[in-house]
Amino acid sequence: MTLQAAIQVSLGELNLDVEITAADGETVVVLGPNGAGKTTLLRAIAGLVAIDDGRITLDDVVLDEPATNTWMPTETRPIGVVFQDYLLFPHLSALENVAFGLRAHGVARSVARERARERLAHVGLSEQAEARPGTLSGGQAQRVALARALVLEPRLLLLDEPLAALDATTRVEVRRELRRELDAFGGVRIVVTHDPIDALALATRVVIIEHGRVQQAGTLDEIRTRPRSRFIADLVGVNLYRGALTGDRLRTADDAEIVVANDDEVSGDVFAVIHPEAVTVHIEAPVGSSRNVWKGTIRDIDGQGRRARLHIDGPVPITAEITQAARSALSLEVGSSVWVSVKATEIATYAT
Amino acid sequence: MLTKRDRPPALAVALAAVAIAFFVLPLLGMLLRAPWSELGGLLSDQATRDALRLSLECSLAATVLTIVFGIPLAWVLARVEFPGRRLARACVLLPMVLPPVVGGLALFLAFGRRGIVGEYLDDWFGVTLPFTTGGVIVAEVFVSMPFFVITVEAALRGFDHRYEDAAATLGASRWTRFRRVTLPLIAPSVIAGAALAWARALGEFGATITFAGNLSGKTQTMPLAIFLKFEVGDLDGAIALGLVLVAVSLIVLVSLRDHWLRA
Repeated sequence: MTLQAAIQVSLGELNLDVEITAADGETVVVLGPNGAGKTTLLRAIAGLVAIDDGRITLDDVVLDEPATNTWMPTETRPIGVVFQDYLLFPHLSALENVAFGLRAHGVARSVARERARERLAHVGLSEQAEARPGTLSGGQAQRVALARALVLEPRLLLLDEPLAALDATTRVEVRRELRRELDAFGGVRIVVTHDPIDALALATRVVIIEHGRVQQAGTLDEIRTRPRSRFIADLVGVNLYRGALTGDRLRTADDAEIVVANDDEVSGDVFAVIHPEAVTVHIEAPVGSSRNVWKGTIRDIDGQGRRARLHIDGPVPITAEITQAARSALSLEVGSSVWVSVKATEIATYAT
Repeated sequence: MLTKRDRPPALAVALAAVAIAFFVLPLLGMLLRAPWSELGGLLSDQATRDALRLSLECSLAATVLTIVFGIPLAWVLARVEFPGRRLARACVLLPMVLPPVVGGLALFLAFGRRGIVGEYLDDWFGVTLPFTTGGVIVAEVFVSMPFFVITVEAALRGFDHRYEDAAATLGASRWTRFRRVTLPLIAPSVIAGAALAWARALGEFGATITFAGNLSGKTQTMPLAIFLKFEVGDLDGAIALGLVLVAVSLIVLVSLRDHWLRA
């Protein structure tokens, strides 16, 4: 692993204790709610926050290790950072922003400007070279910030909420561009975000942190099929239940019963996942092979393009995803009484 | 048209008008009473020219010293946590409210020939401050630096540190970060603070006359010269010199209008 970081920091309310590793050519996305410690983690790797305990190494060079009093200051770490809000220097032009790092590394003025100009041309911003950051659009500012970090050819690229400052329409486009830029950069990439869609678009691996701890780490697929907390389940949009499993019966904390296939023959404290697409919604009590049939009331409906997500209260609260066409055919509204059914074979169970 | 609700209360308007007149009338008095035709002659005699030159030299020297020491001082007060910081800031800002005559007296007790430091300055370095041009500069720095420090410190506190973080991740050393990021971004406040300090130094009277005396060509700056002319009944000469200071003040005010006069 190129980057190995075991980080323990206490900062005010936050008590961060995480381990994170990343290899060349990999984009590790650190995903978590606001206040989880994501930015602090990034700042610790960048050397903007000193860790209390642990060890951060990059290519086997120790950047920070309190136990041995080892500390490499930020300005000598081979890193590039794209900050939230980008933090382009407002008194310098786009070109001077990109040239700044080269100048700080002692590159001659004319050479630095030439290389900065090439970088800007590469991201399609030749026209904006002399523009002040205040006059750039969000997407352009993001590209300048990325160019400013990449022109130094760092080993490790850190991005803090790189898309949060953008509006929804430019976001899709910039996200795609960012993905291309990240793939083209051969070193280690670490992206911090609270947005699962960004994570989905950028990640080769996801590390989910909550309350300063790693809740789960793995590929997106692993996380989507086997989430290990309610937060993660909500992020990836699946129904997650926890309870005691005996044979094919799962008893939830609310004392409801769910019938599962239990192919892996686990027992005891387990998680059960139901994908919203696997939930069938009926107007009348269904007769069929589904082992799980509950009566419930629609609490809320989210429309997402051609699909609708129904949040249904009942003995087992559940979210169902159906087409908008099905929704209007059944005239489903908030407050409607419905039956839901889920086949036991559609429910995955795994030990906690 | 103003509705009844928006109309300002008559009493407040009347009091404000009196206050405005209070500031305008003295200026008007000077302009009306000024010996315009003899102005050239009045300003060209040797003592007046010496006072003018001395004022400019001393106030500019004082401003340079204020900047050289004031920026590090403001930075330390804004950024460094140390015990007694509040006390240190209070001591630095005290001259803003201290009567300048008292300031001059205090300077005399510290840097005078028998002062707690002055004695050694004299013995070891042969430096004498009281009743010398150097003493004028010291007095001016004493009264004007607080204005600079308070302006620059406020700017440093309001400055978004994360710009320095960004510069650090780009490989900039501490000094480079300060020189190329922090300083340019707080420059408007540095300039405003320096102008304010310079204006204050140019008008310094109380501390100067107490600490440095009133020696023509050596410590007699414009304000001292004006006072002297007024005392001996040379009203025209006093007004002529006064007009010069009014003009300088107006230039400072106009050049900093974006900083102070934006409403």
